Amino acid sequence: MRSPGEGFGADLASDHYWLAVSTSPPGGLRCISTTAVRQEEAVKGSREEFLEQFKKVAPSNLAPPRFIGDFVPKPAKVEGTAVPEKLTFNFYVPHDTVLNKSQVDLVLLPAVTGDFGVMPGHVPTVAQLRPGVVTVHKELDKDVQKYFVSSGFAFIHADSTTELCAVEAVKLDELDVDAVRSGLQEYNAKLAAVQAKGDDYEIAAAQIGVEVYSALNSAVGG
Amino acid sequence: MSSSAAASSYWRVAGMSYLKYSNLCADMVRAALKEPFKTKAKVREAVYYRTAQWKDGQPVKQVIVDLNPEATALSKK
Repeated sequence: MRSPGEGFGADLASDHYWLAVSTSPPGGLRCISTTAVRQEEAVKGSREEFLEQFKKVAPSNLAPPRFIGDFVPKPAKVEGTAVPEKLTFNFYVPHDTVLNKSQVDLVLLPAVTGDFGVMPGHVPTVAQLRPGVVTVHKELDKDVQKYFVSSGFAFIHADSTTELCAVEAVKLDELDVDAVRSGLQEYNAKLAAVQAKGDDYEIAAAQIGVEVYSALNSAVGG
Repeated sequence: MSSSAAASSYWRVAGMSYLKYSNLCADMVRAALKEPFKTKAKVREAVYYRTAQWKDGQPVKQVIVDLNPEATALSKK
């Protein structure tokens, strides 16, 4: 919960933005609530209050305004429904469908903010992935598949569905250990060379090389 | 999860777009593949298009522009 007066910016995006600009709102200043229920109540209440005020000053032939909420689809109610036993996992790359509606126990993802695991009932979130290993536990600790993803995004939905989109995803045994080691050395040398020159873009490209090959190296157990 | 970590990535600061970054990462992963898979991945990179100049409502000359001749050669094998 935010303190009163904060969150004007957020209010502008919602239905009850008028509270922020009106001089004396009937219910006092209200902020975006942290719970969906409170927000729903606040929006509904402020909408009615707004329409009441609107009718007082608007000409009789003017239709009441529409609200942003009228056009946004209502989020599906997930509270109260039981969490399924398995996670529905979709794994897509541009040229292939790695897994489609696969029923899994656990997925471990390498996000830029740190590795995390997804099990059924995970909070909805979107995570940017860094180059690293995605571990899919079809059956916890029994049937495990490992993929290396170059980058990408993971979308975790409220209905225990998880989507993973990557540009390149390969199985770990498809990686050439020697190529990985020589690549890591090559990009380390390249990074040192371009750092001396001082071109930001080249440095970033070499830095990405080091990042990707370090991740590859640890993935193949080097 | 904070987005600030990603927003201030070093590659972003250097003027690289996310598309460029992710494609660069994908290129590097492809370069580290074992042989049958490496060739398969290369074949996917084949990109070409056909252009034609039009004169009096008729195509005059068709030109095929190959953006990745190496990959196209592999895909024809």
